[in-house]
Amino acid sequence: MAIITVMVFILIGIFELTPLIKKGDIKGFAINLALLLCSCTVLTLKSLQISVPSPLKPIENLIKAIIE
Amino acid sequence: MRKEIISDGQAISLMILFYLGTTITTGTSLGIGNNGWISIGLAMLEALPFLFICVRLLSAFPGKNLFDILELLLGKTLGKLVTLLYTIYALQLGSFILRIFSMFVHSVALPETPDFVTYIMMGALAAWILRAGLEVMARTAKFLLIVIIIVLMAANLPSIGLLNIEYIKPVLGDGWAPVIKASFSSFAIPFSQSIILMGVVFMLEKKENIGRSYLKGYLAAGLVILLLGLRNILMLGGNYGSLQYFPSYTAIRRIRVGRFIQRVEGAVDIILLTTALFKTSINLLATTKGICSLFNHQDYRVFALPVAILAMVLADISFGSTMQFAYFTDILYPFYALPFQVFIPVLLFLVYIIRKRTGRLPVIPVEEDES
Repeated sequence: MAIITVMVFILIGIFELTPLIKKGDIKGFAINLALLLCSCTVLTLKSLQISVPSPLKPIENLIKAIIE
Repeated sequence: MRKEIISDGQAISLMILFYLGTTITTGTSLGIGNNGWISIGLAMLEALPFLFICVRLLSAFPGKNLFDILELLLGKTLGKLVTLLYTIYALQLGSFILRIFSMFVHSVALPETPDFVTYIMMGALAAWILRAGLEVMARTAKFLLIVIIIVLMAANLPSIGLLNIEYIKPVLGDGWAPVIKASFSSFAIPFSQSIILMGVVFMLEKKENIGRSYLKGYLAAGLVILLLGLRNILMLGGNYGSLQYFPSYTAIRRIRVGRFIQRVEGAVDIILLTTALFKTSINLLATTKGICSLFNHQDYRVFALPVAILAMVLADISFGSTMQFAYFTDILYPFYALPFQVFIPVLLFLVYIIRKRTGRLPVIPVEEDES
């Protein structure tokens, strides 16, 4: 499953990022690459059954500390 | 990149679809039984001053969106920092909508279907709309709003005979306190979310109409939410309705007119699909515009797919279960939304007023339309 995930992201990367390089949009390429890498890392970890902590947990704890 | 200008009618349609979002199906101000409709009306009034703040700021800086205004009023460093916060906030809101849609599909229609299938369907569609741009989105919104109005009327007219006026009594049986407390949740979702719209809908054909368009969209959506809340109470009763995750769906399921009109709950699916899709798209559009503002990039469309994928991932990892999600949105979200939907807009408005009075408002260069 992890391999499939990485393959899908490589395909998305090829179709999304190549036109940006051709246009010379290096900034857009770098931002897109960073965003795709974030998503790919999380999904690969999930597909390897490694639990990924919720990004909302710290926010939840902070709000609870304030209101309780 | 060419400025995208939309007509008043298209802006109003976008706003109505944004406010209706998932609220049209999940309902709002639940948990206080038969007085929910009063708290919806109250929340509309409470959020009105914040709508005026948004409109005032947009009118003061014509052609500028929320992120430009943040930078103009707060300075480059602080402006970028707040832009980053709003970008993350808009992305999270988009992921919440994806999650609600997935929950709905999972619980009422396709229980065996994995969540990621619904995320991919919805997310890909949102990315496609984003890539098409705001003008296409607005034109589609105007057309689909008509479809939604027809479906809403067709689905709700047969329910008139099933309404029981006794369910609404006693009005304010426990006094105002629980109603005011519950209005806080309707205030947070969706009425004070106008700030997200500021990142998206800011260029109209007639600049002077921006206030009127915002108000019309807000009032129309508020009225629909209020009427549907009232219908849910009159059909299901306050207490039973409060126990449902999707009260509108439960209410519509009860509609049967002879053997001819029954099982019209498909109407709710159509409405939720459309409104949730537009709300997700608008949130993701605000996210991409925030990214453009952060990194001084001209074209938000190039970020459509990566941002949509990130929203899908967030929707998947943010909550372990439906109960956790319900707890967060019902109890914690109103507090989480406070800084974004109340404190920062008020602060921004105060900075604007002070700068205006002291004559230190930034001068905005008049931009030539390249089209």
